[in-house]
Amino acid sequence: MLIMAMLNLSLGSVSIPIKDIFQSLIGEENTNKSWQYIIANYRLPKTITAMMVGSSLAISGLLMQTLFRNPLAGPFVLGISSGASLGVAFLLLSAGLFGSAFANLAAMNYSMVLAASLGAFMVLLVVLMAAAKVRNTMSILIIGLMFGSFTSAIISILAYFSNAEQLQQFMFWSYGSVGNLSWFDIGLFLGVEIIGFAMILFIIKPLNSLLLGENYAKSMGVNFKTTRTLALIATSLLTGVCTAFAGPIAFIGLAVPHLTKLIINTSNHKVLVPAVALMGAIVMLISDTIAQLPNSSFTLPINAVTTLFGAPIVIWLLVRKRKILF
Amino acid sequence: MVIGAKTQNTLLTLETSTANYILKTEQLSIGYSTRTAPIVVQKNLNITLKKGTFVCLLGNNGVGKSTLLRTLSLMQPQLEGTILLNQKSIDTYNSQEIATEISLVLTEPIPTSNLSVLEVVALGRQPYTNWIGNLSFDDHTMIAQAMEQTQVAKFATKKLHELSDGQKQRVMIARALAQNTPLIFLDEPTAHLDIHYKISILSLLKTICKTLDKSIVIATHEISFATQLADQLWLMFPDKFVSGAPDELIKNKSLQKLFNTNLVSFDANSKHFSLKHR
Repeated sequence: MLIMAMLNLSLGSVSIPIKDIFQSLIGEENTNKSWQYIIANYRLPKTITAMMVGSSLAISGLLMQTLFRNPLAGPFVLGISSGASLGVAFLLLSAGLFGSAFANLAAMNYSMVLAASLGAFMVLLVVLMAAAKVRNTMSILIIGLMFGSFTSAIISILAYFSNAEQLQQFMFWSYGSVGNLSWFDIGLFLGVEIIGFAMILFIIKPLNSLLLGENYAKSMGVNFKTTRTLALIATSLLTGVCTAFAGPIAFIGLAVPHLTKLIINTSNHKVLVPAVALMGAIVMLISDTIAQLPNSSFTLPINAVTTLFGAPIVIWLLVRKRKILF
Repeated sequence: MVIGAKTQNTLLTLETSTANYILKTEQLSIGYSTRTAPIVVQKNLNITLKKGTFVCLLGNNGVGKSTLLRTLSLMQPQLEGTILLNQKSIDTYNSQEIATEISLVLTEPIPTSNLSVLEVVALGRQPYTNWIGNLSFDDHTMIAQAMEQTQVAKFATKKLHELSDGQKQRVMIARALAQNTPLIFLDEPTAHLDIHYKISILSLLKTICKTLDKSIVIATHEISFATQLADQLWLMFPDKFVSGAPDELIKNKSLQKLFNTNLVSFDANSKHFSLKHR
């Protein structure tokens, strides 16, 4: 991961020699002031964000797959990112419907983060309320998926009534990006991520017995409702904060747990949780490095890269190993 | 006041009977609650289970054997009545405390996973381990012993999905043994086993029951083994519940009535149900 992080730091629109990156990282005076500026305020935040987004989404995916015992589950099955998208869509696209009252708001940098967080939080509340009512875990999965469809329908309606410029702005957001975060943003992100990870630490043990199914887990002393609620809240926090800061990053949450399990061949969450987090960070760093298109001034949408390069890898691993396991 | 009267009542039964009832139900109704009227599977069950007894629960398909076991182990709520575990209402136990009293082997299929046999058996120690699930020396001893008893130790490192159904079943039993509870409920534990393992598992359970003074209840369709091995039979009929020693139940013809059709008949000498000769 360290190697990938270094690689990620060293590649960008402006090429900077690795030696100089080292120097500026350990705080030595650098010959080139602008290089130092780029690294401290642009590249390093981006690298850290990529790692945090990757590990958060991958862990969330693992949680959902174990909880729902469904290999197709991912961090977005709860509809969290759809909620965030809806929040942003309202902010950016509603100008077409309600005049330009929101247009000024949209110019503000934080309004997008705020809108995404609000949207994600609203959906989280509804999902948790549904989870308290519904006894069957599979139903929660379906409720989450329904939310996804519901919000995308609303977004299409909003998109239909908005102009090209607004639409483009929304499209850019939905491409995802791990850049453009200030150090303050990163601090906030890290805070939420630590809370989420702390929650997960306490459900590692029940998650292992959940591999035998709900009833067996209960018979071995697992308080299922508490575990489920903790897992849902942790996932929502992690995916919510990722989507708010980096947009809806696809694929990582679904694929990284499978990739990790195919490589390390265990189901024990004590091993899996750190491994998946590490793997998520690495995959995200690689994706971001590719997205930078080294030595060119173009940047690809990261969302396209994660899927474009990740999907064939997972297919290849599955064809080779044949069996998908939890 | 009602609660006060009930405790009083419990104390009385305690004094009159002996205290070695580990489990006791009073006017228990089992079934499923729905939004309109509850679906009652069995009602007015007054069951007592002594310490160190080996009980076989017999009955037709769908008569409520699994429902009873699930209700007694708090997996599903009782509709009416009380269940007393160690003379205390079972509702006063939390999920972790229950797990140190009752272990279960269920009929439901185990989801495919990459857990090894050792890891699955080790899960049985969860009620005793710390928050992250680290195993102590005692835990390891208990796990090794449980795997030895069920003869799964020789494939301890194999993954669960590589095993046959019968092997899986023995692993799940090993896990229940590792849980080291005074009560073990097993729902058709011999369903996937060949005759060798059927007998070896049943006699193992019997041995554990006697040597370690545990109470074991198994729901089973192995009537001939049940009548030979069980200390007590619990017979579930659609409208009543009968319990007693096997010989007693054969003598008073309760067992014969269990499958009261014109297809099978019970032979009291061989303790066997067989095809009726026409």
